[in-house]
Amino acid sequence: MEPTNVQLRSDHGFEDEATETVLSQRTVRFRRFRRNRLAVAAVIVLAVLYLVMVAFPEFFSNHFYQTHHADYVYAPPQIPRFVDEEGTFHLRPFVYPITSELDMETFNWVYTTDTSQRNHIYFFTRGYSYDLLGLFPTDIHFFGLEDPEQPLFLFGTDRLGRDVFSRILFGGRVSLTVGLVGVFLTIIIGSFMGTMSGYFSGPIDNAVQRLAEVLMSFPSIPLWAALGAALPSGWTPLQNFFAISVILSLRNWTGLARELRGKVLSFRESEYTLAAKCVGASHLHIIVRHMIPNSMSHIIVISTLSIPFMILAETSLSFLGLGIQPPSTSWGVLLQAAQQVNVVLEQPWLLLPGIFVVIAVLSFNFLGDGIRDALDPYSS
Amino acid sequence: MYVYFVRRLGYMVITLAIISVLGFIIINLPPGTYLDRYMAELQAQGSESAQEIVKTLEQRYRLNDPVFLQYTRWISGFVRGDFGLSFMYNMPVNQLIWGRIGYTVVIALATLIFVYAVSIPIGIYSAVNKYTIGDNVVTLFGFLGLSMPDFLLALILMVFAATFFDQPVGGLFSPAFRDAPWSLARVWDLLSNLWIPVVVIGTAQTATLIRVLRGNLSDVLNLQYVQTARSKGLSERIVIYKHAVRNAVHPLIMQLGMGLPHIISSSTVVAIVLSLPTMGPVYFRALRAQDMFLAGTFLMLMAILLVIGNFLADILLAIVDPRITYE
Amino acid sequence: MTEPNRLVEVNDLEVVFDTVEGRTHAVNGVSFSMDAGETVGIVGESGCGKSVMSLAMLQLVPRPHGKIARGSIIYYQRGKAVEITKLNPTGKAMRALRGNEMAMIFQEPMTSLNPVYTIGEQIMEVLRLHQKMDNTRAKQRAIEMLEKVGVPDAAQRVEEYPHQFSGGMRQRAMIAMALSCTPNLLVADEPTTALDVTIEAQILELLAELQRDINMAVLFISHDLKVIGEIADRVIVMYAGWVVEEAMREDIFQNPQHPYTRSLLAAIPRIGRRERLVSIPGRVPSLSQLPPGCFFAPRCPAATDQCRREEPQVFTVNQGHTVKCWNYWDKEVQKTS
Repeated sequence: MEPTNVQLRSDHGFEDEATETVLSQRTVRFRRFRRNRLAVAAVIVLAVLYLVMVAFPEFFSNHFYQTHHADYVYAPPQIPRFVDEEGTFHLRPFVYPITSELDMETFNWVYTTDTSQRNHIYFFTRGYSYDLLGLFPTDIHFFGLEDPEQPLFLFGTDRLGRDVFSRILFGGRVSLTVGLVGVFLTIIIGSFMGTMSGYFSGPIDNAVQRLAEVLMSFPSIPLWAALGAALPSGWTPLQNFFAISVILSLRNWTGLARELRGKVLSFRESEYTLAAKCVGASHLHIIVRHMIPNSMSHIIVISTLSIPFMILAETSLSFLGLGIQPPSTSWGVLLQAAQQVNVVLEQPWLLLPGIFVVIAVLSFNFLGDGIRDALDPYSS
Repeated sequence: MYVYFVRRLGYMVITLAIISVLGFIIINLPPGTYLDRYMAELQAQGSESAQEIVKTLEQRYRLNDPVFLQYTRWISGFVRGDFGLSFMYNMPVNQLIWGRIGYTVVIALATLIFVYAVSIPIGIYSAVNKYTIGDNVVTLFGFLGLSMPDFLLALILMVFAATFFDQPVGGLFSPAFRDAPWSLARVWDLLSNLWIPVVVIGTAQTATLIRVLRGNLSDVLNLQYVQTARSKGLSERIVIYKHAVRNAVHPLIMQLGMGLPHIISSSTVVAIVLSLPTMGPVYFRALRAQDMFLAGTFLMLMAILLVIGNFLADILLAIVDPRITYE
Repeated sequence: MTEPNRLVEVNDLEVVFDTVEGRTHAVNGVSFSMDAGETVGIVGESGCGKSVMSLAMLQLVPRPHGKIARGSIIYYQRGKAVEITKLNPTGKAMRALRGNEMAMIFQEPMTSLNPVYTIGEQIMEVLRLHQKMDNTRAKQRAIEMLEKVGVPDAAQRVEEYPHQFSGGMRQRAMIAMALSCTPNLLVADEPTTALDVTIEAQILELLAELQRDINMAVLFISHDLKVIGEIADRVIVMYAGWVVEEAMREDIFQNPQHPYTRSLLAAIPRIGRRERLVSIPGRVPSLSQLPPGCFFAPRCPAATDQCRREEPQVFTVNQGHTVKCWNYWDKEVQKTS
C-alpha cells in the first residue's frame, strides 16, 4: 500500500471536533466545580443567606429591626425547646417566657425564666405589617408566638431592647449587598483602567500605573475611613450606602486593573490581535471583541474573591463608626455594640453577627476558590 | 544596579508627592472645619468672645488662604518636620505622634516577622504534601483566618483570656509597667504582651501568604528544572529547598510590599479593640473630630511607611532574582 | 539476558495517571531492550506516551498522580541486573544511579535549567554529589565539560546565569551537566525540538560525537522521524502507549510495515521528489478514552472489522523487526501458511 493512499478527511471533520472540544471544555469546568464539595456547599449557604436576608428579611424576622422593647433591655437569647422541664416531649417547639427586673444596686436588668408556662412557636403567624419585596403589603411572618406581646428573642436583645435576630437579618441585607455593588463598580473601573492601560501603552499606561500605585500606597482602612468621614452627615441611608460602595471600590480596582493589564499586554502581541488589525478592526472592536472576552475568566475569579474582602471592609468601617450610619444597620454596625470586652462578657450574644460575617465571607472565599480551580486547568 | 536604585528612588519621590496632594485633598473633603465645630462649642458654652477666638486662630493658621497656599505651607512644614497644630489636643502634632509611630512600627515589624516565620514553613509543608490531611487542615485554618474580621478575632481572644485566665488583655504593657520608665524589665514586659496584637494582626496575612506560597511552590514543583534536579540524583529535600523554594519565594517578597498596607491597616482597627498606643485610635478620633492636621499627618506617615516598605521590597527582589534587569 | 552487551531491558511496562477525567494509560505494555553504546530512537506524535516512557526510565514519573502499574525496567550495572522498578523512586539507590550512570536531558532548554543558580553551580552540584569532588575540582571539571560541548569562553560563562545563555547554548550546558559523570545511558527527550534547524544539526552532531567518546547508550525521543533517522541505530514507533513497530533504522525507512509508520514517513518532505505531503487524519485518541481493538484503527486507512474488535498481536517481520498490526498477518502470515 502506498502512503499516498491515505485519505484526507474534509476540513469539516476537524471543525466538528473543534466545537466538540469547546463544549466538553465547558462540561469539564462545570464538572470540576461540582467535584469541589466545599464550593458547592458555599453556593447553597449563600443562596440561603441571600434569600432570607436580602430578599425576605421582613418575612423571616419576627420583630421590626428598629422596634425598641423597653422592658427587655439586654435580654438573653431564648432557646427554642422541644422537651420541657418535666422531660415531656412536645412536637411543637416552645420558649419559656422571661421577665425582667432592675437590680437597684448594680442597675443591671436581671432576667428570670418562667418555666411554668410554655409559649409555643407557630409558623406563618401574623406580626408587624410590611411590604413583601417592597410591593405586597402583608403581616404574615415565618414564625412567631400566638400572642405577639409575649417575648420571643431568639438571639437576645441589645442595649435598647431591639431583637438581635431580626437586626442580623436586616443588617445582612446591607452587608451582603454592599459587597456586590462595590464589586460591580470595581469590575467596571478595573476593567476599563486595566484594558486601557495595557492596550494603549505609553502615557496613558504610565498615568494609570502611577495612580494605582499611589492608591495602593494608602493603607486601605485608614483611607476608607478618611473618605467615610468626609461624607455629609445629612445624607439619606441609601445615599450613604452607595457612597460607601463607591469608596470601597475606589481603591479596590487597582488589583484587577494590574492583573488585566498584564493579560492585555500579552494578548496585544498575539496573532489574532494582529489579524484583527489587518482587517481594519477599530481599537474599540478589538478591546470589546477580543480583549475583554479573553480576560473574562480572570475578571470573574478576581471579582468573586474580592466580594468577601468588601464585606470585611464594610464591617470594619461600620464597626469604627465610619461606614453605614444608624438607624440603618449592617453587621458592622451591630458589632459596634460589642466594642468593649466587658460588654461582650456580660452579653456574649452581641457577638452573634460576627458569626454571620464569618459564614458569608468563608462561603464567598470557597466559591471564588472553586471557580478559579474550575476555570484554570493549570492550577490543579 | 546603581541606575535601577536611583530610578526607583526617583519614582518613590514622585509617588510621595502625588500622595501628599491626594492626602491633603482627602483631609479637606469634610464639609466644615474643626473651627466651625469649635465655635459652635464655645457659643454653646456661652462664651462671648467665640467669634474672636476663632478669628485669631484662623489668622494664626491662615485658614482663609486659597487651598493651594495652604497645601504649600503644610507640605513645606511637613518636610521640615513641622506637622501643624492639632485643634483637638491644642498642641503641635509632632509632639503627639512620635511615640505612637514608634509603637506602630514595632508592632508592624514584629507582625511581619511572625507572618513570615509562620507562613513559610507551613506553606512549604502544604505544597509538598498537597491534598493530605495536614494540608487540608492548614487550608481550612487559612480560610478561617482570611474570613474573620481582625477586630472580631481580637475581641474573641480578649474574651477568651478574660474568661479562662481571668486576666485583662489590652494595651502593650502590664498595669505595673504602664507608666514606668524604660528599663529592661519594661522591654521584656512589652515583648511578652506583644504577641496578642501580633497574632491578631498577622493572622489574615499569614493565611494569604500560606496560600500564595502553596500555590506558587506547587507550580514550581511542576516545572522542568525541578525534574532536572531530580534527574541529577539530588535528594528530594535538596530538590525542594534548594531548587524549588528558592524560586517560589519571589512572590513572597513582592507580597511584602502588598502585605505591609494590610498590616498597618489592620493594626489601626485592632488597636481600638486592644487599646494599643499606636496611630490607629488617635487617627480615627481625629477623623471624627475633623482635626485635619493630625489626621492628615497620620495618613501621610502611614503612606510614607508603605512606600518605603515597597521600595525596600523591590530592592530585595532585585538582589534575590538575577533575572531582573537593572537598566 | 544472555547478551553480554545488554544495558537496559524494559518488559511489558505500563504507566498510568489518575486524573479528573479518569485513569489514563500513558504507556501500555511496552517492551524493548538496549545494548551498551547503542542509540535507540522512539518516535511518535505528541501524546503517544513517549515522554512518559522516557521519565519512567529514571523513575521520574510525576507522583502522586502517575505510577508504574505493571512490568519492569532492568538496568545492567557492570553486568549485574538491577530492577529499577523495584527501587524506591526517591530512595538512595535510585538517586545514586540518576545523574551518575543514567542521565537525562529535556525538551525545553529554556526551562530545564534553574534560573536562580549559575550554570557552573548546576553542573558542579552533580559532580560534588556523585564524584565527591570539592568545589575547586568540580569547577575545573565544569569548565572542561562546557568546553567539550562547545561553549566558548567557558571559564567566564561558568559564572553566568541561564538567562544569559541562548537556547542552543543552554542545551549544550544541559548536555554538559548530564554527561559530567560519564553516564552509561542518556535519555534525551526531544532535545532539539525547541531549537533552530542549524542549531539542531550542531547539537545532534555533538551528541553523536560525545556518545562515541564515552561509549554511552542513548535513548533518543522525538516526534520527528527525520531526526531519528539521523541519529538512531534502531527505531521504536509508539502510538497511544503501544510500540506499534520496532526495527533497525534501514528497515523502518525502507520496509515500513505498520500503516502508522508509513504515514509518518509520508509526512517527511524529501528534496528532489515532487510528491504530495500527506498528513494523518484525526488525532491521537485521548489516552483515557481508547477505542476497542487497535488504537490506530479509527485513523487507519486499511482498518478491518477485526482491527476495530481485537487488539493486534505482535508479529516478527524478520530478525529485530516486529510490527503490531493485523494487516501484516493478513497479508504475509496467512499467505505463506
